[in-house]
Amino acid sequence: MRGWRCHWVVACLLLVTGAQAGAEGVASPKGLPGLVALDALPVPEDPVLALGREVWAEPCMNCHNGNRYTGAPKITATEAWAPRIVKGLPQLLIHATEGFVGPKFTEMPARGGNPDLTDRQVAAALAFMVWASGGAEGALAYVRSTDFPRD
Amino acid sequence: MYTKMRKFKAAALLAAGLSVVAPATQAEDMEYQQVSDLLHLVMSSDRTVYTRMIVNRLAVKEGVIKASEHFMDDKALVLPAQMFRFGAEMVAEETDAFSYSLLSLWPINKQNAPTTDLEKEGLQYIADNPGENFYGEEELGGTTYFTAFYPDISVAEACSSCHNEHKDSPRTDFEGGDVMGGVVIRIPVD
Repeated sequence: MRGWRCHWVVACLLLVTGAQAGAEGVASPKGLPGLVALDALPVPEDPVLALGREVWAEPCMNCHNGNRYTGAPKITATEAWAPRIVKGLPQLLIHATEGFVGPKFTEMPARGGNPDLTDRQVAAALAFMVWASGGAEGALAYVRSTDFPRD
Repeated sequence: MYTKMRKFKAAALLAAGLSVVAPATQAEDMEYQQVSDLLHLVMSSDRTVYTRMIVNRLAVKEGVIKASEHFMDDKALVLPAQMFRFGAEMVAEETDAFSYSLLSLWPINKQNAPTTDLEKEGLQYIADNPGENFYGEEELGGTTYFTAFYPDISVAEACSSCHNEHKDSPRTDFEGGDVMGGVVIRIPVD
């Protein structure tokens, strides 16, 4: 029994480490230089996060790629994302799906301006951004939790 | 593309545009591009503050007033783009040292379409190359101008939705963060 538990713990650690491995290569306090293109971002092994990467390309990338005019937190920039991540992904999902005006009056449009996106797609894109921006463990735990929307 | 770097005696322009009297040692070495970039920084910052602190705060978050193209009839806030144009008109009344405008390849008002070859080239360049500016030189009416193009971005849901739904808009698929046009700054070269 003890041996089974040990294997389970090791498997979980490997899973988490694997989930972080790609993200750690791009996350930094200011994020990747310039405008972040999709090709610069690693493909997560987790299928939900990988779906999030696809959704991120359209429409999230336009604002979250480091476009300074929009005021949106840049993907891979841990300084910008840390204060948001501490709010918890369920709260961030409410902002992303319903729209949100931040404390500095920057505007996050509901569903990134695409009303056709499902809750699951929005949540996957959000989790991918968090995963690539210093919150890999939390993002992985979120997509596997009962909080994550199932369409 | 503008490649020839030319020096510009910028003290007067800085004083007019930035309300700052720069020390001569700094101003005399300034290049047209640097002056233009600084002017644009002030313009874009002011417009962003208006968009966020006035329009987003009062119209989107608090819902106490709306922003409208027909602000007089609607007793509403002017749109950020209109605020920007009014500023450009006021500057034009005050000085010939520089001018600026808001143009687009997809203008709702046809008067805001590019007319010169450089305007067409510059607007196309910034639309094709997100995050980049374009600099050039052109002769208009016997005067040579340094002309700079900066992307005009959809920074709020209202920007893209208004253009997408406007009956006179030639393009209806704008999304947040898209380049919708360009800020064009023109400085006569002495």
